[in-house]
Amino acid sequence: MLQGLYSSGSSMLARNTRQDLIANNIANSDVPGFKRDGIFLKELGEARRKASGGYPSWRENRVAGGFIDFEQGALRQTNSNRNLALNGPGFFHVRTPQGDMYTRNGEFSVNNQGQLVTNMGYPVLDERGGEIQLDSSEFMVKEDGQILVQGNEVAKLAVHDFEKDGDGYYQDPDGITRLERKHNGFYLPKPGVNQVAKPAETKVAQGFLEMSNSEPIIQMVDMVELFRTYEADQRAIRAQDETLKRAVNDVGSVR
Amino acid sequence: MSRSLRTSATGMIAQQLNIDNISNNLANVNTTGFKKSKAEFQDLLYHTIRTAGTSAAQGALVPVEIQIGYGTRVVATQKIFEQGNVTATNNALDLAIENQGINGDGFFQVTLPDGTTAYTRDGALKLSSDGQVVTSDGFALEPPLSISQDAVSINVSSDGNVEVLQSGETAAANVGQSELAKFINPAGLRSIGKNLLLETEASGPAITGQPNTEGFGRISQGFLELSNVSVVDELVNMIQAQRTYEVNARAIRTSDEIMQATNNIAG
Repeated sequence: MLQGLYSSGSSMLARNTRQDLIANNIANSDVPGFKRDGIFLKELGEARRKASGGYPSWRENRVAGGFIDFEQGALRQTNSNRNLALNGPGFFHVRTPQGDMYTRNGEFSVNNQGQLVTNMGYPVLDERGGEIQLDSSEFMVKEDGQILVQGNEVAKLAVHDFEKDGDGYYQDPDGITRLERKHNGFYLPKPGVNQVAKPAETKVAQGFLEMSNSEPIIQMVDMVELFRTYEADQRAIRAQDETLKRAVNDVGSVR
Repeated sequence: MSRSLRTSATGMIAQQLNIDNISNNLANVNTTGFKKSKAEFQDLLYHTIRTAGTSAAQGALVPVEIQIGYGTRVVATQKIFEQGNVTATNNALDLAIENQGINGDGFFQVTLPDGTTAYTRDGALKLSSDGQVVTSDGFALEPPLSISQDAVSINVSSDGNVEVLQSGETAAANVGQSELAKFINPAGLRSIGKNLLLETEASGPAITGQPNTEGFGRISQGFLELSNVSVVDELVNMIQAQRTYEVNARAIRTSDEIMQATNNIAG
């Protein structure tokens, strides 16, 4: 059969996966602290070279992998003292029933015991790993994370960061991601990934939220591009189908 | 394929709820003591297609894993208890709780007909036929306050002391002391309509105290607190929600077109 059929088909499958990612990026374009997903596709030639057997392994090999783009989101002023944003790399430390997790969504509130919690009600932790007892809905957070209630320091907000590669990505030297995505905007470091001190340039901004970095314009452009490529591949398959049809039905027929 | 369709649908549903919330804020832009609320979003579960470091069919190591998300949802609508603007009415029984110079998220307490206590920031009070001080809906203020028919003037001080000058007398007499309630998490109060809020487990128990003390705010007589809804902010939020809705709808269309193209492969 024609190899080209497999090439076109493999490309279509990869675009399907990309559309799934774009749909999720768009759906979350209003979630504070959300970081967009991306995937890279592999060239078919490389995939074929690695193939050991004669039959092309076209089905899976085109999607090489995905990544989370941790580019800083824009800060939006909300005037609520319970909204905190991180300007620079780092994560808030949150205690959930599934264990400690990390997030960049600073949409916090104060619960009935006077503790600082996320909007899901999970306690936000201080530098020593303890819950933050405010006992008041009036509090001030300084740039370095120091929390003041009526002028007295009650705790210092934990802002943690994780090992990055030379280019500032959360990846190990082999390009394997060091952070796993969980639901509700949480991230979890992979086993063996070290926590590092928060970079000095990271500042806590009270009264602000970090907006999602999944900008609809970029997603729309990606979507248009992927759809037209998908269409082109579909046409290519039809053309090859026609060719095959000729070969099977017309070539060699004696008139 | 249907994954991206459903993902975009969650985005549309969330924005619809966002618009519902914005509409309610806008509808109450002239409601005395109304506090706006804000919808808060989170992302949903992620599905890991391939884990990093596992080997692909031909023994090549997959370098980076692929996680695909299932969309978004609204997790909370948070009430924003920012002070609203205060307007002068010159009506003796219009009271506003102000936080100028003193911290305070205090609430007036009212007794509902079934005996439970509700809380409100709406201080547009009235006199009932039997001289009781009540809200616009006729619920009695707590602690109860009654003012006799022949009162010439009523004076409420910033710390809640109520003095009444009776006709034919020269000195005002003290008839009561108003009290405010505060909560450790006012955002956890439940709205029940009629400008009233109820205590919940999330809000914590009410802490009562005298006005003009820390954390309660002080009372301004002859003023009303307007709603804290900013029309411009809400309109900007509405435009943003509508456009986000549209982008999600567009993503659904693209997914649909992709499926259509797939169906047309063999023409």
